[in-house]
Amino acid sequence: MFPRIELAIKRLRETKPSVCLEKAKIMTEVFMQTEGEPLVIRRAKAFREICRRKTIFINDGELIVGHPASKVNAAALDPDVKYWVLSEELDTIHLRDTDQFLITNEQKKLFKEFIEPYWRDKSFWDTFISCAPEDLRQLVEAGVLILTNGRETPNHGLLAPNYELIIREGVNSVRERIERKLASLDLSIPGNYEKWVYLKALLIVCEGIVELAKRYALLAREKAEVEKDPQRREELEKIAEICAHVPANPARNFWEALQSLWFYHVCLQIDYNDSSNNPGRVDQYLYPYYKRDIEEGRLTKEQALELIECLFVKFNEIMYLSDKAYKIVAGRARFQSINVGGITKNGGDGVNELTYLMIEAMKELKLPEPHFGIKYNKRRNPDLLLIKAAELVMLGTGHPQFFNDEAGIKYLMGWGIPFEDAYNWSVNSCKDLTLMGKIGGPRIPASINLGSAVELVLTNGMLRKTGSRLPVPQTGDPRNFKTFEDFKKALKRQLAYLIKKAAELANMVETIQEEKYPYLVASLSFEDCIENARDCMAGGAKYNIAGEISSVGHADLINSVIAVKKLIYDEKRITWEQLLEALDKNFEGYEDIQALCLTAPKYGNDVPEIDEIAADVIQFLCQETKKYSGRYGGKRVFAGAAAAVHIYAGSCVGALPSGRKAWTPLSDGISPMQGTDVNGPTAVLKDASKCCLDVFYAPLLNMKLDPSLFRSEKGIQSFVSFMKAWADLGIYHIQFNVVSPEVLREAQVRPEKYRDLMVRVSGYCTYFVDLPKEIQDEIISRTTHRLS
Amino acid sequence: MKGLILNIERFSIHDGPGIRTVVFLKGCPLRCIWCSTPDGQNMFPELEYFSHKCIKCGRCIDACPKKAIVKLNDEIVTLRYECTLCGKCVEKCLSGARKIVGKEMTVEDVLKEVEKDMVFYSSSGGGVTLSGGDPISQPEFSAAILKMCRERGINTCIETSAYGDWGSLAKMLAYTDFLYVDIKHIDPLKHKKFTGKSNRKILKNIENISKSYPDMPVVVRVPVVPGYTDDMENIRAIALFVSGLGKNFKIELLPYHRLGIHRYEALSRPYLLRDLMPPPHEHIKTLKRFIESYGVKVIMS
Ligand code: SF4
Ligand code: SF4
Repeated sequence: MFPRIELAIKRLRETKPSVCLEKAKIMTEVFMQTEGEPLVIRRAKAFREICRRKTIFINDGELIVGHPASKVNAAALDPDVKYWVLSEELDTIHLRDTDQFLITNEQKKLFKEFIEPYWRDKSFWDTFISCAPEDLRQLVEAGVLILTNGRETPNHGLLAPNYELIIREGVNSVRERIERKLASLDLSIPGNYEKWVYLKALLIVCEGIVELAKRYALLAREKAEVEKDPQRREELEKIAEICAHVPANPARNFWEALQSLWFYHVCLQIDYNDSSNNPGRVDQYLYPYYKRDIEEGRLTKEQALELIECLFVKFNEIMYLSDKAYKIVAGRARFQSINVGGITKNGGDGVNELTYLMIEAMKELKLPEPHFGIKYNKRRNPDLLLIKAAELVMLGTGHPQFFNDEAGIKYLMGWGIPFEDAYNWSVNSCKDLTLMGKIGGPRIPASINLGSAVELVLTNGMLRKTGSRLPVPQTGDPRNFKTFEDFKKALKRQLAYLIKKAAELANMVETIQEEKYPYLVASLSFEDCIENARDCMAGGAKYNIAGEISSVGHADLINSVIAVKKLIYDEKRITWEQLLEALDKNFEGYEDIQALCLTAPKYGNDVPEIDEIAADVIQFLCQETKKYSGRYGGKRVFAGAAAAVHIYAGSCVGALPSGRKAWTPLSDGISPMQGTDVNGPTAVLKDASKCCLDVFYAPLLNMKLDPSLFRSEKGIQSFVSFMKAWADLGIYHIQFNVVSPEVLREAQVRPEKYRDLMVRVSGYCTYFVDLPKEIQDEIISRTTHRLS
Repeated sequence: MKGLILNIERFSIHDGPGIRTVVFLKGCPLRCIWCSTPDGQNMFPELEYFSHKCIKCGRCIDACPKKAIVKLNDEIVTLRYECTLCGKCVEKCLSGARKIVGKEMTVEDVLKEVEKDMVFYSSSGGGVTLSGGDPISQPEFSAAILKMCRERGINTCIETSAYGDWGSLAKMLAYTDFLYVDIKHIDPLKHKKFTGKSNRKILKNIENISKSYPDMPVVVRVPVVPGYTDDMENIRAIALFVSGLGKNFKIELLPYHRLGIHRYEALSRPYLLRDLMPPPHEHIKTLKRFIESYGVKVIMS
C-alpha cells in the first residue's frame, strides 16, 4: 500500500467523529442579516460566506485536498434541515451506542444560545408537522408511511449532478452561461423576475466555489514554503498550482480532473451535508484525461492508482450528522455512489483501464466509501470484469454492488427517455437510477411500510405498537373472512388506501422541498436548470420523473399472505382466532403457532404457488401507484426500498403471520426474509426475477455467500456464470455478503445475532448456529484455510 | 415411477461441470467407515434426532402414538424399533431437533426441481448430478431421471461407487455425460474391511466403462483417509490402474473430513473414527504430485 494512503487510513481510524458547527453558525449569521431577501439569494450568500470563512486544512501526504467541514471526520450540521438532532441529543450524542460524535462545551453553548433559537420550528420536519393533514401526520408518526427527509430515516439528497461538466468546462464557463442567460431575460414577461433572482443566486454560488479553491491554493503555497521534505514541497507546490486552476477552469490532466471533481463534491456537501451526492460514472468521464496523460508519458499507471486511492479515501472523511434513530442502522453509510462499467455512447463496451484501476483501488482500501457499483452489461462487458469484481466481492467488504445495465436502460426508456441519454444512467444513492445532470429530485418523497399494511388488515385498523386506531379503512374482523379471497380483498383495499396516502405525502414533500430547499450547487451542473432558470428540485432538470413511492417489507407481506392461505384456508391447521391471539402475544406462549407459521412456504425458495400470489400483489401495488402523478408530470412508480429503511420500518410493526416477531427488522428489498432462503442462491435469484421487474422499479437484493465459492478457479467461473444468469433473469441489483471466518467466530459467541447464517456442510445447506460446536470449529478452520 | 430422495441441492459447483443441481438418492451398497453422509446409506426413510438442538421439553414424548420416545437420565431416547416414522414428533418439536430423512418422489417431481435452474445451466454449462447414497441402488429410477434430463438438453452426471452388476450401471451410463466413480482402496481385502464389500466388481466395471465409453469424461475419486487409504502403496497402485484406462480418466483426491459426524449420533449409530484428524494440506499436495508422475491428471476441489 502507498505510504500516504496508509497514513490517510490511519488518520481516518484514529480521528473520532465530531460535530462541526461552522456552517450552522455562518449560515445563521447570514440568514439574520438577509431577512427579507429571496430565499435562493440568502442560501447562496450563506454558501459563499461559508466558502470564504470556513476552516480549511491540508492533511499530511494527501494529493487531493478539501473537506466540507472543519476537520477530518467532522460532520457539519445543516440547521435548516435538522437542527433538532442536536436539540434532542446535545448532551448524549457523544455517548450513543453507535455513531457517536464528539462535541465541545463551547459548541454546546453556541448551539443553545445562537443556532437553535434562530432555527427552532424551521426544520423540514417542523414544516411538515405544522401543515400536514392530521391523518398523514398520524400515519407518518406510526411508521406506516415513511418520510425520506423525516426524523427517523437518513436524509437523502439523491442526486447525480454532472461532475463531468464542471471538470470539462470549469465553473467560469458555467458562470458565463448563466450571465448570457441573465442578459437574455426580458423582465417584462411575468415569471422572468423569479428566474432572474434564481440565476443571480447561482452566480453567487459560482463565486463561492472559485474562492474556496483559491483559498486552498494559498494554503498549499504557504505550506510548501515551510515544508522541509523536498518531495512533499514539490507536491504542495503542484497542489497549489492545481487549486489555482480548477474548478474555475477546465481540467488539463488526470490529477486536475480528480481535484476538480473533489472540489465540486465538497461544495455539494457544504450546501447540504447529507448523504447521496453521487459522482456517477467516473471511469467513463475521467478516462480521456487518464488516457491522454498516459499516452503523453505524464502519468504512470501506478501514479494513477495512487491518485484514485487519494480521492477514494476522501469520501470516507466526510461525515453527516445522523439522528439517533440512525443508530439502528449502524455504520455511517454515506451512499456516495460511483459506478464503473456499462456501455459507451455508441453502445460499445465501456470497460477501460480505469475501470480495473478503480476496482484495484477498492480492493486495497477496504473502506466503506465510495459506494462502489459495477454496471454490468452482459452483452458488451467482458468476463474479466466479473472476474475482477469477484476478487473484490471475496474480500467481504460488501463492495461492489452489481447493477444490471440493460435492466437500468429499460427502466429509463420506459419513462420515455431516449437511448442516447438512457445508456449513461448511473446509480443514485444506494440503488436508484439517475442521469448525471439530467434527472431532478426529490426522487423518494415517500415510502410505504408493507409490514404495517398487513398488520392493519389483521387488527382492523389498529396499530399494535400503541394500541390506538389509525385513520385507515376498517376492512373488517379477519375472523369473518370466509375465504382466502375475502382476506385478499381486504388486504388490497388497505394497500390501495395506503398508496393513495403515500401519494398525498409525496406531493407534500415535493412542495416543501421546492419551497424551502433549493439545491443551488447541484443545479449549476444541470444544463437545463440554467436554461430554464429553475432549480433541479423544482422541475428545472431535463427529465423530471415523478418521485417514486418506495416500499419496504416485500417478503414479509408475501410470506404473511402465504401463511394465512396455507394454515387457515388450505390446510385449516389453525383458526383466525388462534393466529390473532398468537400475534397479539408476539408468539410468546404460542411457540407452536410460530413454528407452524415459520414452516409455511417462504418467498425466496422458488416455489411456484408463492410466485403466483407475489405477482398478483405486486402487480396490484404497481398499478395502484401508477394512478398518481408527480409534481412535475409523469406517473409515479412503485419501487423497492432504499437500504437500511427495513430496520426502522420493522421497529414499528408487531408480529406477523410470516412468523416474524414484533419490532424486529423487516426483510430487505426483495431479499428473502432472514434465514428462510434454504434452497440456495439460485432459488433466490429465480424468485427475485419473478417480482414483476418490468413494473416494480429498482428493487434491492442482498445475498449471503459462502466464501468457499472463491477458493477455486472453478468457483470463480461459477460466480461468473451465476452473474450472467442474474443478468439474463433481468434482475436489477444484487449485492453479496461474504461470510468471513471472523463473522463465524462471532456467531459462535452470539448465536442470537446470526440465526440466518447459512453454510454448506457436506451436501447440506444449514444454519451455522444450529451445528454442534465441534462442526462449527471445523467449518471455521476450513473457511480460514480457503481464504489463505 | 417413484424413488427415495435424501435431498436436492441447487447451486453446487463441485459435482461436475458448471453450476449443477445435485439429487441425493437414498441407498448405498457400501458402508465406508469414514462416510460423511450416513443418512444416505439405507434405502428407507429414517428418523434423525439432534441432541444439541434439543431443549428437552418433552413435547415429542407426548406426541408419539407408539410411546417410542422416553426420557432416560435426562436424555431423550427414541426406541427406534417401536418407531413407525409417523412424523408426529417432528411436527411437535419446536427446536428442529427431529427430522425424517428420505422422501418419496416421482421422476416428474425430481425433474420439476431440476428444471428450475435451467438458466444457470445454460450460463455455466452445468446440469444435473445424481449422487447419494449411490444412484446405483435405484438404477431404474436414476436412469429415468437421466433420460428425461437428456431429452430436455440438461447435461447429466452421476456419482457412483460402481458396485453393482454391469446391467444396472449400463442403464444409467446410457444417459450420462459425465461420470464420477470411486476407488477407495486397490486392495480387495482392505476394501472389504473398510467398506464392507470387495472391490473386484468395482474395478471390473471401471475397466468396462473405459472400453465401452471411451469418450466419457470420468473422474475417479479417491478418499484420502489418514491411516486407511493414504499410504503411498495404495495411491501408487490406483494411479497405475487409472493411467492404463485412457486419457478421459482423471483422479480427484477427496481429503477426509469430519463434517458429517453429528449425523451418526442423530441416527443412533456409532462413529468409528472419532479421533481421526483430516490429512494436512501438504500431504494432499504430495500425493497429487506423486499421481501426476504417472501421467494422470489430478483435480482438487
Ligand atoms: S420436542 Fe424436540 S426439543 Fe422437545 S424434547 Fe423432543 S426433541 Fe427435544
Ligand atoms: S416418528 Fe412417530 S412413531 Fe416415530 S418417534 Fe416420532 S412420533 Fe413416535
